[in-house]
Amino acid sequence: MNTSLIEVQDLVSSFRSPAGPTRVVDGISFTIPKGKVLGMVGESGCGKSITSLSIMRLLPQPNGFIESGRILFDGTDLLELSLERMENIRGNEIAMVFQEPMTALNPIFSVGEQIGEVLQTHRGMKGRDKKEKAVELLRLVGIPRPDRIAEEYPHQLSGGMRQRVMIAMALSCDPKLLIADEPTTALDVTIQIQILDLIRDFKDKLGTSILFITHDLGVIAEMADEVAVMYLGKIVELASVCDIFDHPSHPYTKGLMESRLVKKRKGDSLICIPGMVPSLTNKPKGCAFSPRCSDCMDICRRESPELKEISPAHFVRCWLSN
Amino acid sequence: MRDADSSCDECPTQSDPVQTENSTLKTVLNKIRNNALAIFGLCFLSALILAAVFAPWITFFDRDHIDMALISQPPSLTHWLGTDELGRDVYTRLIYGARVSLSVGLVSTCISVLIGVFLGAVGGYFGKAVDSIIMRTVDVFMCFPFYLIAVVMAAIIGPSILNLMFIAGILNWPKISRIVRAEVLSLKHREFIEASRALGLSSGKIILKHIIPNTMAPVIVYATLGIAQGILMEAGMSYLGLGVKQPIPSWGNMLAAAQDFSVLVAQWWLWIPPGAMVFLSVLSINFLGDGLRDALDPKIAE
Repeated sequence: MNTSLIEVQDLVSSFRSPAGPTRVVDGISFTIPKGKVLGMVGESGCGKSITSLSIMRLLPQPNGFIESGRILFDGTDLLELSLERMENIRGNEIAMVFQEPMTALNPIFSVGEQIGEVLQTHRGMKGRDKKEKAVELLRLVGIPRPDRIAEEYPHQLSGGMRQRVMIAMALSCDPKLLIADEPTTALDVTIQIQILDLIRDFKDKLGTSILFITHDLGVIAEMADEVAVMYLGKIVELASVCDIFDHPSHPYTKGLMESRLVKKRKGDSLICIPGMVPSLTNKPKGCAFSPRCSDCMDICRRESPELKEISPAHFVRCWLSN
Repeated sequence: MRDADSSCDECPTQSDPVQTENSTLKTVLNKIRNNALAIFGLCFLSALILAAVFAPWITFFDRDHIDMALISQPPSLTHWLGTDELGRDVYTRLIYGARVSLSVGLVSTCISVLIGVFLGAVGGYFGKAVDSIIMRTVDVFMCFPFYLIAVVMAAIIGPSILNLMFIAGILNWPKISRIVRAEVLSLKHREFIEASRALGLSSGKIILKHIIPNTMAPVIVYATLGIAQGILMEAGMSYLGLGVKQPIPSWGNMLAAAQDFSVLVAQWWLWIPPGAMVFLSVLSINFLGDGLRDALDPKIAE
């Protein structure tokens, strides 16, 4: 048995539309070893969130569905589990932190009650035990005066505090995998770093694996062990975080690196990747990035490249590297 | 949105210490306290409920005691509100009538809230065919004229208190289920519902523990007003002879005395008191309902 906790194989997730199913996640594969962090980057609409929702089997209903593929979690295929088994895994073994702490908490229950609900569902805790454990969790995520905050309602807390509460809820049952879907995007920078530190602390302490979704390369450099760059539903580059930053090999990854704001002086113009992400219903023939690629060749417009290993554990989907 | 507290994540609450013990009930009571009309409604209703519960102790005659020597007497010291055409004490019957009117209002509202909330939540949450079936049923119910169908139903199943409760409950749920469904439709796409699914809660639990509690504010307000409607309906139906039957007193069948022209002109004590009770209790309930709506609406600041 290898040490990978979750193994996604050729996952295809689609949405039904009047014009037939639209593939949003188009055959992606990755593994996350125990205690490691996989960072997932890409523009809006490239399928990052849909990948995470597919793992949870929570694609937006009624139109989203998983077309094919396997998601092996600790050796069992999540896609074949019954709904009850899946509900038992959600929040318990796989937990999720959402992007918007402002809306991801129920406005009419105190935060203590909401953490308690998870404990009751998965751990069968009741009464005093439940309350004490909820306060304990709030203390762990660095909330001052946790016994008082547990009695407060979400609208009384700031964004950073709420995100801490969300993390407390996600970690309440010691999950093996934490899916963090842009957990810091809605927060301001000073809070961002605190939340990132908090997540990293827990990873080190509990050995939790993390799927970390973001579009912020700085956050990726901070958090990830491995990075998957997504473009239009496909992984275009998959490598260790050092390789990605030192030797970006896919033109899209290079473009992302160049559009960062590092080492820019006043007056320098910002670099961006020309063009727009093509629509999912009208994907270009051949390589999906070809219309925006500066090094586009003839073959790029005709055939879609495969994901190739160009150096150990560094995969790229590009004709240039073949 | 939060500019000030970004720098001090350590001082998390904007609330003052007074608010720490914030049970919802307390907040609501605090808000209602400043609303004179709602307080009037609350007091009147409390008094009415107490009077109805303790009726035997605050009245001095037997409810159905007939005294042919004292028929149609005007108010006096022994008979505070006079006697009716059978010599029964009007004050006693008025207090006992409160039992009937209030219980018809309460029970019928409970029936309609139970049906309405359940069907509205299920329809809104599951959508598709379930929703279509429920909402078309609602449409069917709502296209009947309320009193006409109530009269027809009472004529078929017979006049009695229980039937009256049943009829009022059955005819009132469609409005509640529409309110609940509309709330659920917007709630179910909120992120915290998705989040609770990601935390492993089943659909049933999500509906019961997260969706229905969030729809309660408008339901409570509507239910309050529904009680008023129940009382009015009882009065109307009993007036027509399709509600509560003699000798059980209700405000409606006491008002029926005013069908007689000589009573209407010469014996005001037979119909003004029950009329005033209906008027005052419905008014109080509406005041209280308005007050509750303001108090439960988080958009109206304290």
